[in-house]
Amino acid sequence: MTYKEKVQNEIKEEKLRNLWQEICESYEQGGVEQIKSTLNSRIGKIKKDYEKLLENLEKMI
Amino acid sequence: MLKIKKVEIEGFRGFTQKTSIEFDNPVTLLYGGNHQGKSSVLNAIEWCLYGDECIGEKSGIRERVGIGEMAWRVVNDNSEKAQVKLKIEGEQGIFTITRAEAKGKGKKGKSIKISLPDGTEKKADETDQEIARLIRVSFKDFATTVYQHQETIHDFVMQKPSEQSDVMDRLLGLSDYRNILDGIKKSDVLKVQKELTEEFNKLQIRVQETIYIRQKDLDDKRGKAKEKGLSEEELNENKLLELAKSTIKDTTDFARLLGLTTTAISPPSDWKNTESFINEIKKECNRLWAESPEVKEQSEKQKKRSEMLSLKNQYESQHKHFKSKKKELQDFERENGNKDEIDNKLRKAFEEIEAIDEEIKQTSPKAKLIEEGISILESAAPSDAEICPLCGEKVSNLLEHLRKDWEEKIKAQVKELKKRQTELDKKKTDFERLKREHVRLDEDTQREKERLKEAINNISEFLNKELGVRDDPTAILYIEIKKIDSRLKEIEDAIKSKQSKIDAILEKTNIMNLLYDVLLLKDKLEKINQIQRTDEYQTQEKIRTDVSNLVRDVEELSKIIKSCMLKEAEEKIDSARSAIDYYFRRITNNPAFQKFNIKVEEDKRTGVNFYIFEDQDGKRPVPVLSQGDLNSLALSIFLGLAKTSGDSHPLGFVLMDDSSQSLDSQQKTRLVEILNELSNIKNIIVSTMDTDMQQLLKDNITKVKTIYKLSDWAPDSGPKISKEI
Repeated sequence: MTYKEKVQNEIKEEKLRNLWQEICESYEQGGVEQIKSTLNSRIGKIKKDYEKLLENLEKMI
Repeated sequence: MLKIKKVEIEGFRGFTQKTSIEFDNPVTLLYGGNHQGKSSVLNAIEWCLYGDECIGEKSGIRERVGIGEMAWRVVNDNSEKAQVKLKIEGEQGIFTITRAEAKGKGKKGKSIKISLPDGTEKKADETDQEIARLIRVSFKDFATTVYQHQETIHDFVMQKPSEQSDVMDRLLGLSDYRNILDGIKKSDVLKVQKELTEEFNKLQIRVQETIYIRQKDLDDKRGKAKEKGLSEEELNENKLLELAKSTIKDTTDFARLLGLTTTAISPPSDWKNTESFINEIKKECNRLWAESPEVKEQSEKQKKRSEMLSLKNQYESQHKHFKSKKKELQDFERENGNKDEIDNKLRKAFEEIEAIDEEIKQTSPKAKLIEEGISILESAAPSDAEICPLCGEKVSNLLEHLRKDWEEKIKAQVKELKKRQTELDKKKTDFERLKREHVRLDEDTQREKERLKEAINNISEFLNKELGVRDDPTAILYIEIKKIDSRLKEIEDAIKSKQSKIDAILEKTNIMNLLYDVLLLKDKLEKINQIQRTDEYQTQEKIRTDVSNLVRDVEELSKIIKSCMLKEAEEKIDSARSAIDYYFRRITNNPAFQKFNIKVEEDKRTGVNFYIFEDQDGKRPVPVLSQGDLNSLALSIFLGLAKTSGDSHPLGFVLMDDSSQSLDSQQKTRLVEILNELSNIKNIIVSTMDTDMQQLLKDNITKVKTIYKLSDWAPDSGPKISKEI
């Protein structure tokens, strides 16, 4: 069994399975840096949305 | 078990020319100096079987990580294409795998095919599946149980003890877990979660601060409103609107009082429109005030008074100037005479100068005549000593004497005349200056007089009254100003009562303003207090929950990866434990080690694998192990894993690359003995630059062996290969 399958078998939640899938694809595509980049682009978008929301809330104050 | 029979290499790494190496015998030795292509032969076998899997980060081999010039290049620098053909013998016969890659063409330049023993050939997608079916060993397993890379030995020997766990993971083929954990750790997920929490905390603090400030402002305005007579119950919109209506009524009444009509002003529809309403009321009050008759008259009178004061000041100033100039002229005339007197003096000076000029003119012809007479006498009578008729002295030459005497007298007379003439010229100049001075003073006086006249005319015109020479404009203006002042006093008294009405209206607007501020602050406070109910607030909470979930997922996943990595390490070590113990004690032959054990556990701090090496007493020998012992340990792990896979392993060969690093001669001897034993079950392909090792292999391997010497490597021709039987 490959590392991918071994980890996959241990995952119970669907959500985690998808994340693992995404991480594996990134790793196969571009190694360590690609994993970093994939996770950063995900979190970066959230951060941007969050900052915009905070800006709006700031205006309410 | 599959055994390699032959490899053909062309254009791959150190090889340019087509080169064949056969592996017919149980042991194959590749020997030669550094950079002669030995490792390239082993790499060619690996690349032919696994292609891109053995390149880059995912290979788990550090020297293969890099881009550009630093990259581990497949195609030889002097070749356009790399091709490796591998003949493998299985139970069914010979399989031939051919892998090729053209330089700079990316995926399109890559090809793979396999010829099966029955002669059929598989290409493209089918090939990979066919190869996988044939060799049944993943690249990671290949790298830990078949191919002993020199880098893993080197790293294990050279790394700090704290980093040996990383090398152990790679020795056990667990680098994928390590790399993935590394990629997750390098990402900003945790950092961003922290940043978002900080941002949110800042917002919370800002909310609290703002509530505090607004509440303080509200209390302050409340207090002021109460000082103005409003009760707590009146601090509401109804009271504000009531005040607005009352203000409109007051303004209308005020307009009526002034005899004016008021512009229609509507009360505000709600408290939020208070500011514009107040502005309208103020504007209207200002208009009414400006248009009220008394205020208008007051304004006019004040303007007139100001103009009169200006005229009065102007007249007084001009009068002062005129008087000053007139006095200056009078003082001058008293001292120097008036215009006629100065003219007379000047005329007399002219006459005297003319008289002297005449006298001087007449003196010259007279002198000439006398001189000529003396000359005639001199020529008519010789000069003898005679008595001078003029001075009575006896002179030798009377005429000459007379001439000199005469000349002296004339000169004295002319000198006297000239002196008088000079004095008269000076006098004349002085009179001329006085005359000019008088003219100037007279003109100045006349000019000031004209200006004074103009000032009087201005006053006369302003008052619309003829002013005679006997009138005193200052006094007249003073009386007029007094009259205005008196009227202004009357107006002031008259508008005082109206002023109080307008003040009352403005005071009401001030109260409204206060009330408005109270309502506004209440509203703002309410909004801030309700911020948690807004969509934005709810969404941000959701985002924070999402991020927390992502962080939780990433952490959970990391935990699972670490757990799998630990489990796999445990399984591999468990299966190879006794073999590793055996090989390690055998190679090192150190009597201190009666038993050698490897344990793996989770690092409490990082959660990744942590390897512990123990002797028979449970003591940790790693800090005291020599480099040779460490190399022995790395080799023991590889050989242990290779042996454990044993007969069940589909690949019946091992590749050993420069395995004798740091080993002493005894250890090398024992390693060769082990390889000799291993050659009973697997074909062994050994690459070495170590001459002792070459000799030991030649002398002590009891199986049939093929020996290749690689030498004289050149960039354009590759290595020279000679085969020894």
